Amino acid sequence: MITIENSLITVIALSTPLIIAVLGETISEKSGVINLSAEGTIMICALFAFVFGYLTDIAIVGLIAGMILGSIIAAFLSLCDIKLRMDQIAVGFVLTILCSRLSSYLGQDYVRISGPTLNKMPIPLLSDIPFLGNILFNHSLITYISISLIPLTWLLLNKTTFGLSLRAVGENPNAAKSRGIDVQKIRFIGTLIGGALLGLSGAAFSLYAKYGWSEGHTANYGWIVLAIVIFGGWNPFRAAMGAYAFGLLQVLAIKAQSVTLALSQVLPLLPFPLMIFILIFIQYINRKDSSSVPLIIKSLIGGNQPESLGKKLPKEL
Amino acid sequence: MNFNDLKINFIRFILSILIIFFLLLSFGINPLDVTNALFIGSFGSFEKIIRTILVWVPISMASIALIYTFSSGMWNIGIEGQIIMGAIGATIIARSFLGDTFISPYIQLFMALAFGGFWGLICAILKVKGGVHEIFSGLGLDFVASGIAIYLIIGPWKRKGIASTSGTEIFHENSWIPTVGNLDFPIFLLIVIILVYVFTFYLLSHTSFGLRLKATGINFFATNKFNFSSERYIIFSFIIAGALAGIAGFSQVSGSYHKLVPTISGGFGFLSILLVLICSRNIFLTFIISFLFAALIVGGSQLQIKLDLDHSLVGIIQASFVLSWLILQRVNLEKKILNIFSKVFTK
Amino acid sequence: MKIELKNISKSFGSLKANKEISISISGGIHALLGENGAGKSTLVKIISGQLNPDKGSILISDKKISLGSPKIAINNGIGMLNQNPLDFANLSVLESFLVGNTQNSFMSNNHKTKEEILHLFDNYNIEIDLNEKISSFSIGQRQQIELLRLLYNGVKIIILDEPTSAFSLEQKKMIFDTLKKLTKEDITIIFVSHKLDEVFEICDSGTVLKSGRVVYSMHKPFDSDSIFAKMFDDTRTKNKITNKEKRSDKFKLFIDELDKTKQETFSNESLIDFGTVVGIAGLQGSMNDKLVNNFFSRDFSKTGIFFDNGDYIDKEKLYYMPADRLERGLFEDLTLKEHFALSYSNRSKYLNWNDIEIYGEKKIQEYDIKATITQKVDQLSGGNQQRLMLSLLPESPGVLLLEQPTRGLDFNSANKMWDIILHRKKNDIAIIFSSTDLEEIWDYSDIIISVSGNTIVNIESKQNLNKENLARYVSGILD
Repeated sequence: MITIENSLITVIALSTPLIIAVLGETISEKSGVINLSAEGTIMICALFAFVFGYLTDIAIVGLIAGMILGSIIAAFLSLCDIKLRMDQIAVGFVLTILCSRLSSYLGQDYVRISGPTLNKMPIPLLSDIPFLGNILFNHSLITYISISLIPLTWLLLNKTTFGLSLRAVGENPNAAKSRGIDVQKIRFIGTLIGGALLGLSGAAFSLYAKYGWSEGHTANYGWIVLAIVIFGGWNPFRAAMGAYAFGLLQVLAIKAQSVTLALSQVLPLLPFPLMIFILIFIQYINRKDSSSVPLIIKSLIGGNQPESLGKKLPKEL
Repeated sequence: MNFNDLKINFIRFILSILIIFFLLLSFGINPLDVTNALFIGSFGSFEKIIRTILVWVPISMASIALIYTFSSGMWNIGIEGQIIMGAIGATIIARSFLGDTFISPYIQLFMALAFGGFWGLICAILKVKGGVHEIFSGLGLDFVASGIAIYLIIGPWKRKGIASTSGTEIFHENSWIPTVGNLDFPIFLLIVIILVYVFTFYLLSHTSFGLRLKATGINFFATNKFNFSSERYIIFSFIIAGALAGIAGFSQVSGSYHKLVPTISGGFGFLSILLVLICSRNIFLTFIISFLFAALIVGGSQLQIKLDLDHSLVGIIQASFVLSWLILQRVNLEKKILNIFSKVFTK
Repeated sequence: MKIELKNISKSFGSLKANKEISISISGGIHALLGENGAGKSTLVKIISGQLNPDKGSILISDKKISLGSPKIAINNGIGMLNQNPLDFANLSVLESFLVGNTQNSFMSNNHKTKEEILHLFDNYNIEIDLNEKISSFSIGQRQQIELLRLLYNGVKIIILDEPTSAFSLEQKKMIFDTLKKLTKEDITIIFVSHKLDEVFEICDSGTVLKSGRVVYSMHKPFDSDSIFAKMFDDTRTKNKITNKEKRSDKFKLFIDELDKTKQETFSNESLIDFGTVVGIAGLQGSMNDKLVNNFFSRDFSKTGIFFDNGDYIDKEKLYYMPADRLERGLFEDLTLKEHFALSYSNRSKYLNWNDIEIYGEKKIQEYDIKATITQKVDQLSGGNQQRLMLSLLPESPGVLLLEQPTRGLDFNSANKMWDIILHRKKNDIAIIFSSTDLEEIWDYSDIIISVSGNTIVNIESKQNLNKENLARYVSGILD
């Protein structure tokens, strides 16, 4: 039955992978590194997670496998960035294409096979609360993980020494160095954590939100992650809101499909450009005339781009 | 490009190929078998050579398009959308009353140019006037173009009775690109692409336009000392890139498929980004590597037939090739090898 | 806190940046003065541990310290404020204080730390919200916060490297008050500056460097005349100067912000002959360069050059050379040849590389640029980049707007440069240049605009000026 309750449950469940990815990328970008391989990473980790889950018939093994592969890819990117001083955007882009194609190739034998899935794990007592209980406490393990990652990410970034050092590196590597911080190490770890979460996100697709594997299984989600991080102003809570908003758009699009047949193929695609255009719109307005922007929009999207984002480390470091 | 660069590029090429071979071996595939299959698949017969050319043209077009935008310092990820819009532009003419006239291809070319150029212009304006990063505007417009194409294919342009994503009706023969001979050698496209190559080579290295474009990409702020505006040149670069990408779309739709399909760009846009990452502004290198990539794609169909290998292997080879090249470039292995060589040979 | 430098020497290849520098500071605020290239920044880097000297030692409280490591310097209580604050734009004040500082991995309730920090700020009469982002403060405030952070970390010797260049008057007063208080707590301050008025205001002692050596040591009360003499004195002999050909065409200079404290003998709108050289004199960090830039940007509400008939000069005729050549005037990845092509490209769309090469080689000869035409400009030394920039100015008549045209050039090269510039004088409309070298201003200008800080102090024909007044004007010392 189509109720608001059910719809909200669906939104939260479907958004699970996106939440994880968005939080991971936020951490990475806070340390100054854009992981443009997100699209490819999520896709190949979805495959990996599925395969390992399938082979062991334990979904959690799949989740871990996804995380590990995600870290490996991110480590590669980070080494190219820190040790070889290559352009992170160029390397990220090539990795995206490579990993996407690899996933198609390696995944041939696993198309449309059913593997393990993560079942709903209702939390006793709490899930009995009417309405709210059902919405929040009647989900799978991975969804619980995704929800708890939101405050955890915030805590990591804002309440730990590591998080502080990470953000310092993302702002001004030179100044961070002068405070005795090992800039290379921190940047590496930041990218690694981001990659691990991207990998977990891929696993969340193939083992939960979109069961199984098919060619191009997670297509375009990686790109949208990058957009949502900016949309969220590099703040975990806002980014999460953006991810849920996107999830909502998707659910609406699916519902609208049954209404207009002609557009049915197009509608599921609509959320992607829509999200990006909202972002563009906001950036445009923000740039054009800061004073005329209503305060509520400013507070919603006023982003604090880490000053060193996307830049190579200074030569002296 | 001087002789020393030539030597280095050559060695880098060989090293990258070796890395690919190694990669294939690790997959349990015999690299020589693959090479053989690819070669036969792309050059084994006259028809196959023509097919290779038909893939080489749009890849070249897109790559040259990207040379313009990379020159001015921009990441034109919107190139996929520009190709699609060019294809749509051409399709409009092909499906119109002009579709069965003999001038149809020429008008199509023009429309493709215009549509693609317009699509590129949008990114440029958003960047210059709104400070919106071209990666995002490009991505957004890629999605939109893709969506428009799909909508047209299953909506207003659907085939009679069937609304399917396999494409529109096949174009009237007069709307196909002009060819010669029994095997339909694509002379028209060949002329166009050669002209574009020559024109670009000339434009970039022998005119102030080309030099200014390059300067804009190097130092956005110093250009006013030499009396030109960076913003203008960024806009120019996007319009030209979009136009050329549009022609790639035209080539796809009227040269290869003879109809509009959802995957009309064939991923050539992103592939060309990979290409330009290694070729930079080197026209000669672009010419060669784009041929290599085209041969890989066309020859790739043989992989399935002869060796039972999925076509996606081609993409893996291409991306690995580029990644290896980029890393080798950074590590500068070639110089060391050249040094060893010269020491050995001067003994 | 006493700090002594003994025979500090440092060379970079053939360039002797510091030669046997010995300075003894027992406390208070000590000024480090000197022109560009005198060796100040090298010395400062040595003290703060970023560089290792070739020879010499540093003693703090009569104890020798090890050199060459920033960490050791910090441990010895040495702290530095750069020109650009080394802080973190998107972090809060509190967080900026804590970076690199906390012991535990989980930031426990920072109540105690917060209290300590607030107390510190309070001591210096500064109200602050620790949760506010650093980026919401002005540069001056950010420097202040940095300063207090150094104090919080227990510095005993603070080096201020031209800290007030971006300050408003208000902020300068604030920080000076803070500095004075610091000295009462046995904190020694080394104040690197060009601004003599500031030095006179707060310093207790000072050292003047020139060409890597100590040329003068002083204590309060300061004798301005001898300081001027030491800073600006130059025993080099000049070669010939201007041959004054009177030309009939005239133009006017319009400068909006003219602030006179002396009686004007020069109206800012009077007619000036074509071919006049206008020198804008000012110390490092003053608006002398900015004024040149104003003429180029053609913001007519501020500055303008226009002809007798009221027409403003065309944009194409303004030939501008910025002070930071690589950042704003040259393209680091392009070769010299390509640069010549760019300036050539104003004439034609088509580039004939043969012609350009000939043109370029000619210029390289003429301007004595030590480079080959196929080299990329980032491989050139600063001086050669300077010469290149000059050579790129179009040959046709126009107005030359030159920021510090001979900066980084040795005496002979500078002379040669001026030969070429003056050669153009016959055809050009005007030559407007800025410089921190008062001798240069004196030698070549017909009209001199003196600026101090952000104020235009005077504008007058050279005939009506003398060197002492000029020095006074630019130092902001007016009696």
